[in-house]
Amino acid sequence: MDTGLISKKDLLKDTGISYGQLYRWKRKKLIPEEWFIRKSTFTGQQTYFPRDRILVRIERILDMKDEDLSLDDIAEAVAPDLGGIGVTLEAVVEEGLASPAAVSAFQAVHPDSEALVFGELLSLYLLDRLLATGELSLEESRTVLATLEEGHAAFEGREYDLVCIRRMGVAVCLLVSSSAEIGLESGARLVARMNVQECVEALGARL
Amino acid sequence: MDTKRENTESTSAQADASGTLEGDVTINGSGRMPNDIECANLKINGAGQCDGNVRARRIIVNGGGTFGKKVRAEEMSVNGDASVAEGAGIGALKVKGRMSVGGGLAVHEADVRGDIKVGGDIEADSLTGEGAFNVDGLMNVGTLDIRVWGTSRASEIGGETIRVAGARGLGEALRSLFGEKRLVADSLEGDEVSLEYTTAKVVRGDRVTIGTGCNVELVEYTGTYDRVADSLVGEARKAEA
Repeated sequence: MDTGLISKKDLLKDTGISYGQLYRWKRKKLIPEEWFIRKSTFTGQQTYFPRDRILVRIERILDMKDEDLSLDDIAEAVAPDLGGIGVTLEAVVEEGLASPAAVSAFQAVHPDSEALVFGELLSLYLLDRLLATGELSLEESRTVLATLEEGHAAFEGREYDLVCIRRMGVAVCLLVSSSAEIGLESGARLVARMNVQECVEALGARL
Repeated sequence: MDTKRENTESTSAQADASGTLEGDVTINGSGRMPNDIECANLKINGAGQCDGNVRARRIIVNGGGTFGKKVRAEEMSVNGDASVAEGAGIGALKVKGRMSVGGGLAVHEADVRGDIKVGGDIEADSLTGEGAFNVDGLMNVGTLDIRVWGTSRASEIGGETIRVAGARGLGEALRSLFGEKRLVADSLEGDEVSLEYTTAKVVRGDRVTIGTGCNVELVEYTGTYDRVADSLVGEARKAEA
């Protein structure tokens, strides 16, 4: 069995939570639908979860419950509604949300942009993390931004990853659903694969 | 498009800028609303068809209501028959008769007397009632307390408290006309699971009671397990908590 996954039974045993809690948290959207991975086994259908992410999430929910927060408060914290924010490019640099290099790459594509809505900020944040790998040229960051801006909508409400592949000096970036496996030809190299939802949460926590 | 609306009254139904739902829409006799509807109260007395999305504080169907898209309401009562094509989100749902939903059904509280069919998943904090329940997807229900008649089906049922009983008492003879009372599910999982007349591959829970008329291949429990003689259980295993 894939070592990155944990079965439902083991999850309950390891965390001490009950079936009822797990189902309630799913209903309240504290645990995303995509994390419930159904696989056929010889005993029938079994449900698995991405191990690291579900363990971190459950720990966080239990911590917040200790602080007497309601499930709705917790839902807000783990899946923040960030639609309404606006951040200036200066503030982005000051707060260290993205490097000046990423910001200038962003400005090259959007010269008139002053305040960013969350979607733009997210694109910038992802771009910055890609640039930080040292594998992406500033010229190529244009493609990354275009991919993100055009692709977001198609993945609305689903878990997806930003993937960057390089072959013979040419970078290609794409968006894939998080559960997708990717097979590359031998000459190609996976530069980065980042889960967008994780970045949303990381970014949300810093705003 | 048929826009027969002679029996339809619509008094300034709309949502103002703040999203407050205002105005009433009433269909008496038979009527068809071709557009999206946003209103405080939608009432159908007779046969009504709404082709667009419906968002209302309160929906009452006396007779038959056909909804071509999605329905969202704080309260919905169906006395008769209602069908929703693309999914429904309801605060408090009461069904006396029949309701079918093409997509998923998300409710806070539902009380059903009759027949309910859902093409997607059901999510409910509480679902009570009696009748035939047919769910193509998963049932995620905080408290499920139902008496089944006819054949009810769901692939997976999960929640805190799951109680399934066979219909009994007055009228059971009549109901037996609908066929054998039985719930068929692949798996049921909950903290407290108490079943009658249920056929399942696996039942998992903390406190599990397998009652009369059950046929369960595998029971896994962490706390307590009871089983009446009048039931079939392939294997029962205590799992470490």
